[in-house]
Amino acid sequence: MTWSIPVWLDLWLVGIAGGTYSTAFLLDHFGGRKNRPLLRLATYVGILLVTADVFLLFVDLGNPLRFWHFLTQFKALSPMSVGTWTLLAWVFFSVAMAILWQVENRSGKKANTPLHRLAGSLSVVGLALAVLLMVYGSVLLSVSSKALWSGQVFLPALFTVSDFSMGLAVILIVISVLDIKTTAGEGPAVSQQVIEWLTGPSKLVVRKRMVTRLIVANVITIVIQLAVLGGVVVRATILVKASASEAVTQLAAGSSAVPFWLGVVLMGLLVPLALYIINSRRNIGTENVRRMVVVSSACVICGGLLLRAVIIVAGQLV
Amino acid sequence: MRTAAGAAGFTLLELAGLNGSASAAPAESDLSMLVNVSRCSGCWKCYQACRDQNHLRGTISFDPENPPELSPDCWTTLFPAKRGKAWRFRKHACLHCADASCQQVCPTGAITRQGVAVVIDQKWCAGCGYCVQACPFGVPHKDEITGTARKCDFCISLINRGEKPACASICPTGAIQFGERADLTIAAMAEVRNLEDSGYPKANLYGGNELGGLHVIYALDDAPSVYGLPESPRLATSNAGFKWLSSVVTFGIACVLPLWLLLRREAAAGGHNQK
Repeated sequence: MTWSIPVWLDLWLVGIAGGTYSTAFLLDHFGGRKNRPLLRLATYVGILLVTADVFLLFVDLGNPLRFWHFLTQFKALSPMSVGTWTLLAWVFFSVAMAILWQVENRSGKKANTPLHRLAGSLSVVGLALAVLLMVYGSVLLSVSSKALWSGQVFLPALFTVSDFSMGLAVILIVISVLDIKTTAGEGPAVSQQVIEWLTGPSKLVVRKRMVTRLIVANVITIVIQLAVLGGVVVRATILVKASASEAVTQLAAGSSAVPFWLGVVLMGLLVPLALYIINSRRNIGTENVRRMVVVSSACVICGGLLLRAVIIVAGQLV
Repeated sequence: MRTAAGAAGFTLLELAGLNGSASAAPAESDLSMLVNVSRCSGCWKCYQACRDQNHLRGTISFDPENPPELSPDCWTTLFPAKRGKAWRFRKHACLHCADASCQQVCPTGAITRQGVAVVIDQKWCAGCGYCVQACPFGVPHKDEITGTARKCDFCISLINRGEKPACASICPTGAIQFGERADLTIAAMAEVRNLEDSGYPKANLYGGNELGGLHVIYALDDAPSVYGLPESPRLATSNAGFKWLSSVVTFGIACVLPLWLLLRREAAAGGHNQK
């Protein structure tokens, strides 16, 4: 099999990185620019994941020392070329942002400084790169001649929503794990010395209501993923050519069936869906509920890896 | 159904050349190969000639029920099809598409067109394997030893010297012909008519129009699928622009919109406090 574990991990890691940054950006943007610490954390998460991803891609090449050949040209029609340049652009962007923010840390809490505004403008560039990170994996697969990957108009949508769902899950884990104590009424105050260094002079404070809404947002993305997966199966069965049906059969009833049904559908979608729904109705500030949110979110992230694994494996079998 | 905005975006991508539609039709004067399945005796000499010419490793299985598959060390094989009690064979190797998916997706530019041949530069290929996934005919394969993708190069060194590819030179029955495309097309059409007159109503010429025209054309006595060929091969990069666009639109509709709807009240109420 030409594409194996490193490629699963590649699409997974960049998906999480892009999803986490875009989720944090939207939270900051829609929240009146008051979630900047979360955006900073998401950027640092992105640096780690994308750097690990570039290393994986490097070692997966038949000739790793020829990696620089990718950088001798840009081919708009080749998603792999676009993806390589996006990864590099992201590394440069995020390191620049990290430096900018550390400089901002030293200058104190002042808002509306030129540095603050520059960071704000650059974060929009970060969103564009994050979206490219999210979508490049699915386009990479769909721009091929494999029936399962190229014959499914729903596949790019499925991966994009899955990436965003994993991003929401990471943010929920970050919020929940970093929550040290619950302040009644005002919601949990999330602060630690190490985290302060990362998030800047402002402490990260997240109200219970926002956590609940993030949970509801992830419920929506999971429902969309279930609907899209259903669409993939129905479309391949009814509408498209035999090879695509065969590929979906491989996925749903062949050698990939167990990881698909138990891993992707049950563990990655249905279990977190149920846990999210149950816990969104409970007091989000309690330790027990927070643990359940972490477990649900971890299921979403693990399910995301299995989704990519089974799609990549099943796609190459037909 | 695409929305007006989607259609406009799609048109823009078409204009920007991001939809990778097949366009480079082969010229009538191009050198091409004609494979006539009804003349192939299944002697495997094309396989042996290819192996010798390109110094490939491996041994041959002459069993039609278990033929060698294309691999880094098998650039030419025979695809068997049972016709009654007899076997018919289609010589299978790279079809050297005028608009080659492998060439379009190759991120390093290692795959280039040299005259009529699509060639992988072994000194430049980084071994990412994308060409393997993109080829609609399953031709390139990644060699774990060299770390590169490998496939038939149309014996480009022989063609450059004015000679025929090794498989065409050695074929004892004339099933593999090499020459100008116009002449080969006329010969192939005549063969298809003969086959139709001989009781093969599904006889057809394959490669004349597929993917805008291939540099290997087949005179088949049955449907392409019988001989392991895709009925309607598509360029891997066709609709690439639309796939990018649809993913970004999905992000907007399925990710941004719900979050905005959920958080707008929070923002209005100043719900996200920062200490």
